Amino acid sequence: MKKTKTSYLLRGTPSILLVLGAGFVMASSEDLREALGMGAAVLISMLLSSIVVSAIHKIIPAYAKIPAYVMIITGFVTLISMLMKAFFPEVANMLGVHLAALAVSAVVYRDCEEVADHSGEGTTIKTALVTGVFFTVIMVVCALIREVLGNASIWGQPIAFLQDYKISALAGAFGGYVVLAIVMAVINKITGLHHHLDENEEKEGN
Amino acid sequence: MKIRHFLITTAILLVIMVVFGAAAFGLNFITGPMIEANNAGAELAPLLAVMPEGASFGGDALIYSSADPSASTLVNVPANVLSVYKEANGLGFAIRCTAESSYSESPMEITIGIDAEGKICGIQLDSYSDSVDFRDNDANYLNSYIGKDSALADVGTVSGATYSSTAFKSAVEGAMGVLIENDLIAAGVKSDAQILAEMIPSLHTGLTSGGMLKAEAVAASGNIVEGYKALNGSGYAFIVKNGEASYLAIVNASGACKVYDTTGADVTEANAAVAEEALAATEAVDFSEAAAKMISAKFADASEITPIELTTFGNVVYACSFKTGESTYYAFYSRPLTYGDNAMEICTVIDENGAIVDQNVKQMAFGHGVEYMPGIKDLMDASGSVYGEYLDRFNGITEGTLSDDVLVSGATISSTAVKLATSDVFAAFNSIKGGEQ
Repeated sequence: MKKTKTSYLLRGTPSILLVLGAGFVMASSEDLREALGMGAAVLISMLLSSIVVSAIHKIIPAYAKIPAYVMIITGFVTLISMLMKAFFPEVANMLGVHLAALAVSAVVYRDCEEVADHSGEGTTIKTALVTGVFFTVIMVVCALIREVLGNASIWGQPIAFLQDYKISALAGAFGGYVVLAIVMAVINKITGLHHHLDENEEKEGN
Repeated sequence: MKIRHFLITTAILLVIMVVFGAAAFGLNFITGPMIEANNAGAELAPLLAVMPEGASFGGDALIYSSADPSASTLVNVPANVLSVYKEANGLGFAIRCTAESSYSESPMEITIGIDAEGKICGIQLDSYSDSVDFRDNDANYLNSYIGKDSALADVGTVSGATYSSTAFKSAVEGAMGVLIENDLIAAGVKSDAQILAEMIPSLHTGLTSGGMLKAEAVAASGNIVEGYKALNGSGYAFIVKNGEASYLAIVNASGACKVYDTTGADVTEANAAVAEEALAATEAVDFSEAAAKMISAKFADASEITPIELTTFGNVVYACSFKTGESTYYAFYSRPLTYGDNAMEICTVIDENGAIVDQNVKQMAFGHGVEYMPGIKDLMDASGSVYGEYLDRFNGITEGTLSDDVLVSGATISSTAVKLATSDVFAAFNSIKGGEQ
């Protein structure tokens, strides 16, 4: 049981998240505000969708689960989108179509389908929070690198002494993937160590 | 079984849809007005940015929109003016317009604030994607418009970004023209010097490229208040004071000088002193050797080469007549500006009947420019000289048959410069023939 809970929490490890959410990270990590906005949207939509799915998964037949979960996620993303447009219009404009595309995000769907569908509310909420926070941290790290080095600015404010040294390519799509690859390599190195420790613990347990 | 699955799935989806639909419906009562206000604020933000504090654009502020021109009472609005707003408290007007130059990747979007007295109170570029950003070359350029009326006195163009800054300035002039044309503001009064300076491109094409003044400044001295020296050696232009009046004196490469008043009338005879002072401020450049080389390259047996004084004012910097056998020809050496303000070298040979018998062009494109001008690159040989089909287009052309057929797609600036120079050549030829008669 301990192993199951741990694996649910660690299933949100960034290396997997990065692959699933590569498009979102690349598209929404050009600016720190944008990254935080997308991170918050992912976290909230994931949390709310997971709670609802966890609560109703027993009454939804297996054959109706995929469309039902997609509808639930879409519903929450729509509501979040409305709230962001009302209260954070600048961030909503920056995110543009990517905010709406969150409705079909594999990151959110994976949480609903793999965790919420099989666990109680407690584990679901913890997992959604861990995954959402991981995702937001990754977005922020990528955005910090890209905005500071690519745009020579932070939170939209120009950094005067960096203006002559900015690497504009980092702000574009190419730079987004380059930063993503670097962050992924670093994360793999760190999490690879954890996996190794987990495997050793598992062997000892057996 | 399948029908049962279908019905259950449909029912579940319907329930979810109804729940979220109701939630969105309810939420919209809160967020709807806020989103609407945000959108309106975003649309008005550029307008408020160019107007004094306290400006308001609510209600009937939009007095012209290019989306529906028929709904407006404004007349003669240029196509590049997108919208005109009238400030609610009588503080003035805000205009949104576009500008495009030869180097524009997409049109510039400009917002201009004009106060009730017809002076620019704010101006900003909302989007700009030309190959050269004039704000990089002159960070203060936009500020130079502040406080100016429609005369735009002392507002020039930016060196190194002439096309972009000229397009920008023209757009501002056009936008202010809308308000003047519709009696919403009074027109600014241009100074004599400004009027005379604006006459230069039409009176001395040698000092221009693409219709824009392309010259280096000459220091003021004596009665000369402004001076311009052509980048291609084709002459000078001076604004000269004579008593209370100001005159424009233009000088060509042969040292001929003409004087014009602010109405554009030729007043050379009555202002010999002005012409004399202008000529004293010039330095002669000898192009005879360069021209002779180009002539002998095509007419090895050319003899009796006789220089001719030019009386026209354009890109032609040297003219001569020569003979081959029994035939007499006229050669004109011109230096129009092309890509990057570099001067081309063109030698045009015309027969007695006024038809081109040979057109030779050196340095049609320059360095990195070649990479960006495929139209010309296709017409060049390995050494970078222009041969073949392009130059053949000029053979037999007379003043009456010179047309856009000589233009090259993808090398518009260069080929337009060649066409302009050819036009100048015909003007010089006519002047010579007129003088002979």
